[in-house]
Amino acid sequence: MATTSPNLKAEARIPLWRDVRVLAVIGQLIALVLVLAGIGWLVNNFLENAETQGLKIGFDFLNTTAAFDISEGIDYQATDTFGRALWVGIVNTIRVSFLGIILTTLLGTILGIARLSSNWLISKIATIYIEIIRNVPLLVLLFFLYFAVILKLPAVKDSIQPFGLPIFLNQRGITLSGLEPTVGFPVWLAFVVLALILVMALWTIQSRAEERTGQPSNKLATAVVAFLLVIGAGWYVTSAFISDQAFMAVASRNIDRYEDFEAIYMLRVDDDALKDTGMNAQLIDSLKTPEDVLNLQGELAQQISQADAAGEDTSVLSSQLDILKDASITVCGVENSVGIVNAASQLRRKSIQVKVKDENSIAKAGKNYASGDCDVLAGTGSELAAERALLDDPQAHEIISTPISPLVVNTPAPAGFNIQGGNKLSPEFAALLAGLVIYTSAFAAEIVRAGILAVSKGQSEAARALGLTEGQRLRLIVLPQAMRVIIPPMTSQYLNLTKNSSLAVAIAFPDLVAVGNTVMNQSGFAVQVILVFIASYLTLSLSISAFLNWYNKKVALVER
Amino acid sequence: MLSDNDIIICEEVHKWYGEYHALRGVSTTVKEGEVVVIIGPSGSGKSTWIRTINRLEEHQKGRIIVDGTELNNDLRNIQEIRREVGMVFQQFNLFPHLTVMQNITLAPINVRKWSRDRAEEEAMKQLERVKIPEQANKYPGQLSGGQQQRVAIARALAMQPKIMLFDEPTSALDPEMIKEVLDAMQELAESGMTIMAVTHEMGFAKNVANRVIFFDQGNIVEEKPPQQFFDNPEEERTKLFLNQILHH
Repeated sequence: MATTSPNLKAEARIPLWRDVRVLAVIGQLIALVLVLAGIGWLVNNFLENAETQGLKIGFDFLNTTAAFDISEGIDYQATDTFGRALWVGIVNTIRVSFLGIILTTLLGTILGIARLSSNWLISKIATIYIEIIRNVPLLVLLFFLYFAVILKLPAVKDSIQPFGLPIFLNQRGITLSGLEPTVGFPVWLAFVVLALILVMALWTIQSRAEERTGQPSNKLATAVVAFLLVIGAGWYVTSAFISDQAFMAVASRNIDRYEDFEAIYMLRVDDDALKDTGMNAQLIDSLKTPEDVLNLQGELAQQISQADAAGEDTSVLSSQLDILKDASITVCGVENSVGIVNAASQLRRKSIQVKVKDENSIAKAGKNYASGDCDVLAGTGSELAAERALLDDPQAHEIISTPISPLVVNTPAPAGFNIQGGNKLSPEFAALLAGLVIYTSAFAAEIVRAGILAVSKGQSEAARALGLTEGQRLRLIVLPQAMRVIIPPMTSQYLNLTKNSSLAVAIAFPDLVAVGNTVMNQSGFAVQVILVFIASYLTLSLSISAFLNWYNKKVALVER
Repeated sequence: MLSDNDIIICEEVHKWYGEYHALRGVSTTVKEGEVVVIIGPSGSGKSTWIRTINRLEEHQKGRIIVDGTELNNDLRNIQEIRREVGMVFQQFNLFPHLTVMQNITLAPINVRKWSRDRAEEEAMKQLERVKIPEQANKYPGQLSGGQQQRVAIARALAMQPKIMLFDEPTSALDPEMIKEVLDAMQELAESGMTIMAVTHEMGFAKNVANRVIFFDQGNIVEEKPPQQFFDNPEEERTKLFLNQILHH
């Protein structure tokens, strides 16, 4: 037994080596010195090695010509710089990560809730999905999706079109209907923002009035009506006054709208040639609209494949099909310009077969038109006016203004051995996005499930006992409490997804790492490129965490 | 037997958990303004029974009629009954992400569709009734157990229910906090509220209840006014139980 004196030892000062405050500061200082020394050693090492091996220092190489191609991404040519090439890679990484995070959140939430479902089949399906996907390495999944699924899709001309939707799946990727912003889009966007502000203001005013009077008002209806009114007005204003789209055609043809091309198209169908092949005259006469032509093509294609299977001669049927396919309207314009996309999709909507002859400048497109290669020249009103002035007989050509909406639907359509229009996802992008989403959503689902289960049963019971409906219970009680459990691990999954996107290199999607590898090999500036990798991923990761930490703080619980 | 002021009627209520027969034909009626205390050994099914009255547990056989509405699979009936029946739990079950005021006004605003002003006025009235109006803007995590349970009582009362169910409201509390909760319950009973309470507080049963129900093995063994119940129990099981809890 130690005997301790109740009296304090009379000691005026604590010696420095026992003072916990001093010790804490010294500890920090030692750590700082060690870190600085480590960094200094690394930098020194690099500089020395660089000198002995003749490695190049500095980031000047970013301004030299890259001289290699990148298969997809923002505007880039081989004559652009290494810096631009890396930027293309970064944007591709951000694009796939951003879409991946959104889709993972959706799929993960659905799967997580499905696994808790009281419906036996739904919960078992979710469980099996999660258990299988969690146990497959991501790289294997990517290889599987790329080589065994997407590259095994049929050739372009046999594209799969699920449920007859304007979606085409083939070896060259996935083509979806897309919304194409036009020149009027930014102005219209301003109207949308205005509408949102208005709706928020109306909502607040009405909520206050509601709380004051206790009279429920129809907030949602008012908000929806106000929103639609403002964006509708914006739509009209931008279509009518901002978008300066037009097309030029031969005046004598009396074409005032794209729809008028229907008659010209029908004339292109060579009735005599069809008659020569021995086609039923009645059948030829029955071809009244472009749709009839399209339907007949489908029938012929079917007959050909049947005849093929039966080993019969298909040459007559094939020549008939070719005659029908020959009929088309040719559109000239600038590649991927609003005008040509709009013109082609307007015509296709009428089931008219379109041939697009696009050039990289309006001058070249204008020459094509002048030489009679095309029926229509699409462009902006001013462009067309300039081109018309160059024609031999300007009066013989008419410019018809076609005000277009801020957004136009860009519908893909099969055209021979290609799919025209629409938004194309490359096989690499599709495989990478699908792989990341399928893989990460399995983990996200478990996080969502854990979050919901973490809210005690008593909370739900109390909500039910108070008479809240199931929807109110989920929205007001369970989800707000589940969120604080879900967000921290979900942040990790978002970061994982972003970093895992670097596996793109395995299936040749030009993300940051894939492009960076090429830059390294071509330029020899390995350390610098690695530094770009680190800086880019660090910036991305920190931005994602910062956003989610801010959100997490908002939903945190107040404790004692 | 049945009269107009019977507010809860249970007829032959049965419940099974798989093979286990938890409630075995419970039948009784509770009159408006009556205070019924249910006692019994743990695992006897008393909590399960009072939780069937607002459908937190589903009964599989028999009938339950609350305030003239039959509790069946009709969602509208269930919601209607839940609006009129308040419940206080052993574990308080306050919503930790909402302040005391938000906890109390949540249901009046979302279920009764009251204005916020009216709901907050009612909430303050109930908080004063349970003697903690100064805690209105705190979060449940910042309160003591006794205070939390009183908030839970205020939360149930703010819906202006006709019936209050208490499921062992003091079992999770420190001894010195039990009194403040029992005081609140007593005040409520004296105001004429219909109460069904599962509790081990014999003092409360003796002083406040109109009737004491002894529950064992999924059914009512004996029900009597407290005086008779404690002084002249008829059933052997009741005697045995009272012996065990009153003499130790």
